[in-house]
Amino acid sequence: MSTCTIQLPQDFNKRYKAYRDELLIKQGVKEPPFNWTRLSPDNLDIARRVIKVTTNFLELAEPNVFLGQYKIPLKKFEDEKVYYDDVAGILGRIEGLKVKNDDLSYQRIEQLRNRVVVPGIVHDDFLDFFPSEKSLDEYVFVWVSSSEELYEARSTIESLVSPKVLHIETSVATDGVLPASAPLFEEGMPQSFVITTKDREIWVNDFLLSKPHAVGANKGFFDYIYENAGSRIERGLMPDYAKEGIKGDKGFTKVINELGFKGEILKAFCPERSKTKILLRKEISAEQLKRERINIELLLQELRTAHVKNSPT
Amino acid sequence: MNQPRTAEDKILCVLESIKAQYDISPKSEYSTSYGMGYGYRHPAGEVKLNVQKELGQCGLDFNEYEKILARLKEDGLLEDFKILPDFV
Repeated sequence: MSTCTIQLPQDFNKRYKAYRDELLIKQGVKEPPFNWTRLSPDNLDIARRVIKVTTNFLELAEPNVFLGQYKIPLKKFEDEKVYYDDVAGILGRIEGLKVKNDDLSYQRIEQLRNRVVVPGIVHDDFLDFFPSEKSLDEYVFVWVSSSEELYEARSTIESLVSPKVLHIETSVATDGVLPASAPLFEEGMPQSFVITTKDREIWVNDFLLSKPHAVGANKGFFDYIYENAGSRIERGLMPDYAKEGIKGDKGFTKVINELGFKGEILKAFCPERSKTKILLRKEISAEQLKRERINIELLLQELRTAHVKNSPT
Repeated sequence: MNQPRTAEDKILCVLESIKAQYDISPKSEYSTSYGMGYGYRHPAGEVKLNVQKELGQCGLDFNEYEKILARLKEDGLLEDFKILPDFV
């Protein structure tokens, strides 16, 4: 009998969810999330308002104890100039949420109401959630199994409605390297992620990813794949100087891992990699990352962590 | 329990096992010092799995199991893993 001891990253739960979803989508078991970029600016703004009202309500309200269903006053949406059809259309595209109003035929509701109306025995909450004709016109009944996709949709839509530029709060030191104590604050999502090299450093936008000189002769390897970005590189066709740091049986993936390309960073910039082949791309847009289902929030978090780790204190 | 069939099924099976073990492993309140919030986690961020049980459950041989763990590590799901024999 043998035991496997596994060391997990600090944000394992988050990574687990993203990875699992990706596999389930690949298998066709799960629907890919709705592509919000397909909406016109007007509809995107409607979606933003619907999601804003819904998340605000869910943050403070408790669901009905029997049915796990929220009852959101339609007026809250109408105050934001969105109407029932907009609400049902937008929320219906978010996994984990279901607008129930249209599922309930009036006849069935009346039957259910008659069945449960036993004065003195039935809990008020119970009656309250078998909607009357009137309440169906006044409330949106939303069943929520998970609100994760809702919050994900909110951040995606907000970044699409008002894209803001990443800015650095503190001034850049004279040698161009940000001290670790100077955190980067983003107000929105960067529109693209670009790899640059400065002396012996690899940067992604304003994040210092790694310093190849600290990890042996991998610099030659990186220089080569960087110069040939966009082409598939094969071990057998590489010049000797580029292979200097990857002698023996060391795979390309391991080398690129040592250069800081791990997790979402690896997926973003090395869409193809194996022991003997690699494809590096120098630049990728946020839109492309979304299309490839790369978790941008996680990517930014990994870049921030790498930056703090590699910057001088 | 149905045995996983495709490569993705097998990866999912191993991943679910790790997650299940992670969920039941002892945790303590943990507050990070670098702004990633706080929550509950195993103090060492470590889980232990019985390899034979995993192999049987996911319909894998040892090589496949090791490859899947390496793939999960490469994709950033694991920081590291070690398979050790148990001496009784």
